[in-house]
Amino acid sequence: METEKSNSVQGFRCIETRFSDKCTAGHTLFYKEHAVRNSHPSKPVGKTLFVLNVPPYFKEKSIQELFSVAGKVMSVCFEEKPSGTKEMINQKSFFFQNHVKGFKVAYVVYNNASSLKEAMKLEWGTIVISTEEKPIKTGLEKWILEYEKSFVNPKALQEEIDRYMEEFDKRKEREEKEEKLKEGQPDDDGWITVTKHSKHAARTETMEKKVMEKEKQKQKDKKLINFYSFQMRETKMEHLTQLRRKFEDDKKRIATMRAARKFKPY
Amino acid sequence: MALKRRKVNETGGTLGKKKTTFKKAKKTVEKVIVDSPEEDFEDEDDNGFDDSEDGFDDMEEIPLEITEAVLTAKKSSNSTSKPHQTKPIKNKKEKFDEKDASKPEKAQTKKNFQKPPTSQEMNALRETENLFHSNLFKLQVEEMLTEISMKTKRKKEIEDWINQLQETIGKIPESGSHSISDTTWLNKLNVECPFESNSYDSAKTFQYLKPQKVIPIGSWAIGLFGKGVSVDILIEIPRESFERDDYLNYTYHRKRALYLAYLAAHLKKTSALVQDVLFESLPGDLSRPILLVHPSGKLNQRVIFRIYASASADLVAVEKLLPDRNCILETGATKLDSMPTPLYNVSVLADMRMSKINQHASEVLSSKKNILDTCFLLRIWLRHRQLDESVGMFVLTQFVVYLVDTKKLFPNMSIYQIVRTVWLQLSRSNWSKEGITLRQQSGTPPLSVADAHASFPIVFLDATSTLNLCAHLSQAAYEWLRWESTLAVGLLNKKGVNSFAALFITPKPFLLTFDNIVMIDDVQNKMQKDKRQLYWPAEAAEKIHQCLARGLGDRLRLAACRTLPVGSWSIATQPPKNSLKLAFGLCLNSPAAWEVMNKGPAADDPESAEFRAFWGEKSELRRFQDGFICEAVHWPAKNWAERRLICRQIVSYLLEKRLNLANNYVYIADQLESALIIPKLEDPVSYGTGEEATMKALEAFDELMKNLRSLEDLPLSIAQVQGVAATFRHTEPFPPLPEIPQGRLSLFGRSGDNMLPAVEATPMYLPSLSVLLTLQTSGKWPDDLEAVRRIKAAFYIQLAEKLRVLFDLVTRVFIDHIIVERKGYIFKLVIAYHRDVALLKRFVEPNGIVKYRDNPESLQLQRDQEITPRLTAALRALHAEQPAYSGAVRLAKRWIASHMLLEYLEEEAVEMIVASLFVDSTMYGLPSTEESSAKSSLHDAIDWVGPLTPQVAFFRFLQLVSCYDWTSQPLIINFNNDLTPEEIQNTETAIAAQRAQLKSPLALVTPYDPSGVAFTRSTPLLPVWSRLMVLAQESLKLMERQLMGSDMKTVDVFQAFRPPLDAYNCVIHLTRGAVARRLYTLDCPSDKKVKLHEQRPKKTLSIYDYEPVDRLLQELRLAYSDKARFFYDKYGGLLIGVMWIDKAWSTPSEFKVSHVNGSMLVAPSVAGGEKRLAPNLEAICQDFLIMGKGLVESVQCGTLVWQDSV
Repeated sequence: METEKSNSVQGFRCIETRFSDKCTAGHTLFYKEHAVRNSHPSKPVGKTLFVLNVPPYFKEKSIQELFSVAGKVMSVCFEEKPSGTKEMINQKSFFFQNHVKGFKVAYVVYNNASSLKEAMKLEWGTIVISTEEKPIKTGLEKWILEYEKSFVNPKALQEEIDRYMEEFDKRKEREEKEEKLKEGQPDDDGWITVTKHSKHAARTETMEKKVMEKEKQKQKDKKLINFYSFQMRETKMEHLTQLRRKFEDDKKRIATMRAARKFKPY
Repeated sequence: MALKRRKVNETGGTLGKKKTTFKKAKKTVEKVIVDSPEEDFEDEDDNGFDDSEDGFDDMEEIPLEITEAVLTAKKSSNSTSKPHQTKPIKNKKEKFDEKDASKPEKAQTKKNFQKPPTSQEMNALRETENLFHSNLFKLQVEEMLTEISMKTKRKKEIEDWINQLQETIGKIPESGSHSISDTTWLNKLNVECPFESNSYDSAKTFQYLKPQKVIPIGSWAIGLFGKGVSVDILIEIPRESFERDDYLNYTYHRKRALYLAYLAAHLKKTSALVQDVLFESLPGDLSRPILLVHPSGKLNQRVIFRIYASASADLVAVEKLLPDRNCILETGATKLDSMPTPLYNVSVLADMRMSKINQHASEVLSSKKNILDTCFLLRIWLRHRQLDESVGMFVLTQFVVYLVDTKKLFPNMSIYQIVRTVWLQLSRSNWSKEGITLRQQSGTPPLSVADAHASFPIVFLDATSTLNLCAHLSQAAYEWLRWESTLAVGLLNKKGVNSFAALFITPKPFLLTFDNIVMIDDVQNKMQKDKRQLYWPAEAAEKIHQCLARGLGDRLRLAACRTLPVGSWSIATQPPKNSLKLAFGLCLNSPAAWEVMNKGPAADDPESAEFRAFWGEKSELRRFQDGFICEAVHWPAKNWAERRLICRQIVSYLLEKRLNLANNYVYIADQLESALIIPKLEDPVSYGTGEEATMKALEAFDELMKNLRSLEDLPLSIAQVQGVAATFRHTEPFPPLPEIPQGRLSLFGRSGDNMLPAVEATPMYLPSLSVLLTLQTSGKWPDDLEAVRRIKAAFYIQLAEKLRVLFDLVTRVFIDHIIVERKGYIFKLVIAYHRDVALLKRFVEPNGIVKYRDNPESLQLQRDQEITPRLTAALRALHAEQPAYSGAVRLAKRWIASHMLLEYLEEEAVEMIVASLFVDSTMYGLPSTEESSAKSSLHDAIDWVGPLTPQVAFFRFLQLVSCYDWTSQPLIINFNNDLTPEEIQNTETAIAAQRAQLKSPLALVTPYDPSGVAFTRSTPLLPVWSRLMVLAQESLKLMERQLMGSDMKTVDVFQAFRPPLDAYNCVIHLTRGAVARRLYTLDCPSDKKVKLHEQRPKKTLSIYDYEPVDRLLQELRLAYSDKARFFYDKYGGLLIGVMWIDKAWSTPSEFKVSHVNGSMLVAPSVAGGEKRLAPNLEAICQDFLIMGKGLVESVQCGTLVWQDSV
């Protein structure tokens, strides 16, 4: 299995990487121009590179440095799977922490379209990621850092919660107002939307079930049991059927047991 | 008329059809059998711990496989039962076969079920209701009988063989006359005489004469033909071979042995008939060896022949062999030497009576089909309990004869009725006080039952009332048989239990039945006073039993004695010396067995002298708290692990001091428990097996609970605090122990008030313990999941602050929990909000209806919030009731973990399976201790309690795992009997209906989770579970061999805990110092001991939940989920096993964006084609090193090794 260096396959360009000088093997990055029909504005077509097979220990920074050879990189984002149409999430919050782990896909957005063209023409040597000057933390060092970072500052957290709840309350209030406004107001076609604030509550599953059950009970109450002779016959038959069904079930069970060789005594 | 004719045609047509379907079904069944995974189990060689890849490759295909299994089962079930009794149903089947096979099956079956019944069918249905326990029982009995029945072809072959044998024996030349002490002439024939004694008169001579008769006896003669039954053949030595006084002084025995030896030498030469001849001794009787013949040709490996030699009935007058006679006359007669020799006499008499007894049995039993079939079942039952060596089928057959003779059994009874009667009569019998006799004539018998009781512990006389058939049976063995019978009846009586499997399918080995076992070898030589009768251990067994029973007193519920089989030996060698070994199984009485004090009589009581005499220097006068002064024996025990061994202390004392058997015994009780101790602790005794550590954690939790409850002016008060961690259920193999120092403090980093681990020093593992908080209900919660999260977080901040200020606890807030340190334990508090589940389930349909549907997230949350707390409470209660539970479940977990599979199933599933052994010990019961109830009714006489020691429970767990029919039956764990039989029935049907959709073969039903899949929804997958089943079977075999085997003093019990490594493609070796759970490693070198330190309050938070290996595994599994599976023993494992997923590694694939991860380009398969992708092996292996920097020592893949050099 011989690897052919920095070649292209299906329009992808390849970069050989090594984690450090001491490594004798490493993964190959594949990249090409990002081209999807409905690309999200945060990943503009013409300025974005699409990088595959990014090893787990790569940081956004390493990718950014790698590709800034061709021009200024505006942003880099990791995704688990290719998702060109989605938004680039760079939200900072205690409640949203999207660290993409494992192998991933990277989107590199250049400031200028020309940098992208440049990047597609680059000839790559073997790239070393973790150097003496800029080591990447892995293993124990990384986990210790993770452990340290897992602690949360309560004050900051409280502030974020307050902010969120304030916004949430406002949104609720607004929605409620809108609903109240809508209540009783026919829309363009003359329909009136029933909301939970209106006189007749919105339909729920439990309500539906209750109604159905009442209906069934009514039907049942009307019926006579074991009154006509055909009913008696049916009851008897039902009994027999049950006996037979049980017999059949038992036989089935035996058959599975036999199939599993349960009856071999020794 | 026309109509009639048409009908006839129709039946004719169906007949033809029937044949084909039957054949077809048979084929499918055969195919199923051939393909069934059990086939592989059998082929497993002894270690059985290798090759396992097979299972893991088709992980994705599992659900499909189950469906197929069910389908084939359905197919085959339709027409494979015995033709005679399911006829009506078969008719129906043909009908619809004929009509239209393409019709949907449901409609067809419906029609079938509603056909008018035939009288035959009604009869069959009624019969099962009246005569059998249930349909299922009847069907199973029939199935079992067909399985073991023998083909007529084989029967013919055996008959031919016997005829040929008779011929061959007729041709054996008569030998010359030799002194009976001389064996040189035999040695020339390459045989050794199998019996030696120094009592006989060497002046006597022996000559081989042609036998009087050669006839089949025993089961074959009665008509019990079946698989697994050996064919017994009796050879009667002619009267002329013996002199008048040959019955004395072992002369008969010697001549008999010489006769057999000569015969064996000649048989060995007839290779056309015989492949091998061996000597074997009768169980519990070394004086009368027999010949074990392996036939050659077609019968080889299929049948075993046993050849018995006997004397004719007129050897000597029977009166001379009555038990009160002395038949070993020695010249230098001391007083002891003139004692009667009942066991000797019986051994001669039994041979003389052998053919007559057999004749009677076959007269009574042959041609009574149901009774014979029952005998078959009884034989299976005996063998499964390993009772056949100690009691023997012979005694049981004679008992059946007795029952027929006394009109308690009739040939027209159903098998169920017969087997029930036999057990009931056995359980009510009392042969140790009121023996029985087969004699039917009136008049004074030569030996009355009462006289027989004077000589033998157990009495069952033959038809002439001279021979005691149970002479070699010890009291303990008889009690054991009687107890098993009582249990059997109890099982039949048990409502809603399918007892068949427990009685006839699942084996119940000795090792699994008794809480403690003492194995004693070479008993006769040490114990027997009468040195003349050393060939029978009965007397020694009796003595030991009495001593144990007296010493253990009410600690003991049942003691059973098993004579271990001597085995066979080559005819060219001497019989093995001192080979008789006894095993005493003890069923203990909890909690009396764990008392540290044996209270004796009061000091001034006359009995106290006797008590002192029995216990020797152990006995001392003690004054108790109530002012009572009495003799007492104290057995020191510091913790639970030691208290469980008090019985061992007592038995050791008795055997060593009173019976002088110091070096001859092994006590099997706690061998495996050492898997639960932490050997590296400086004082491992005080830790024991961890029960106390769990209690301490619970105490700390209780204190925290009090603190939480006392909190005031919170926005919402705390309504409920529930611990849900395994430690709170007593099921954590190694409960947290804050006293273990985490490491040298100066090495650790620090950030604020938090301790931080360092690269140089990985702290000892300290897990957090999950606790659920339920808040007072309120209507003010928002209706939105995200908002609820925020509100909870805000609540956490307040709660943490309160705990810190009011109780001075170290607390940390996180977005979804709080960490609280109390007494060194780390608690993780989480708020359970019941509406979270509903919010997760909720969705709005396009028509505006709000619906609630289960989804994976909601099910998970529901389980964590609702089921786990209830399960935890139930298991905690179970442990309080049966303290062996904790040890058992922890052993089970440790065992699964040691095979690196614990991470592939939910731990709760294991806990539930072990709990099932304690909640309902189907096969195992103990005699009830209450005297009154024992007599009133049979049902109360049985205590259905679980195992009393963790080790036995663990063995039973292994058996359950390997034997239970997981794929077709859910396991019901009915805590507190909360589920009614109807509910159970419904659950079973419901689960059977959705089997095809289930991912895992396990369904564990509890009252808290009737769906049965809460903890087995996605794991374990079938390959994992079937591997565990194989491992369980092999481990159990291994341990049984080791513990009950010959060289039991050098047992390495952990062998079953060591995984084989050759199954893994690649092994990642870890640096021991960086593994946080390194204290728990199984057999690690114990260099430096760890000293426990005192806990003192502090302001910094200990390092918790930090296990580098867990983090590495998490990263690896995320990165290579499509390429490899990772296996690790989380209790201190020092390596990670990696198994490549075959699909990814077989052939290079096309370049696809979705397959590119971790791969590299390789040359195209066709010249000029596209380049292809293949896993980048070298890079991946180096990734292991990079990602586990500091933790991974080396990566080994086949012959390639990568050292830590990144």
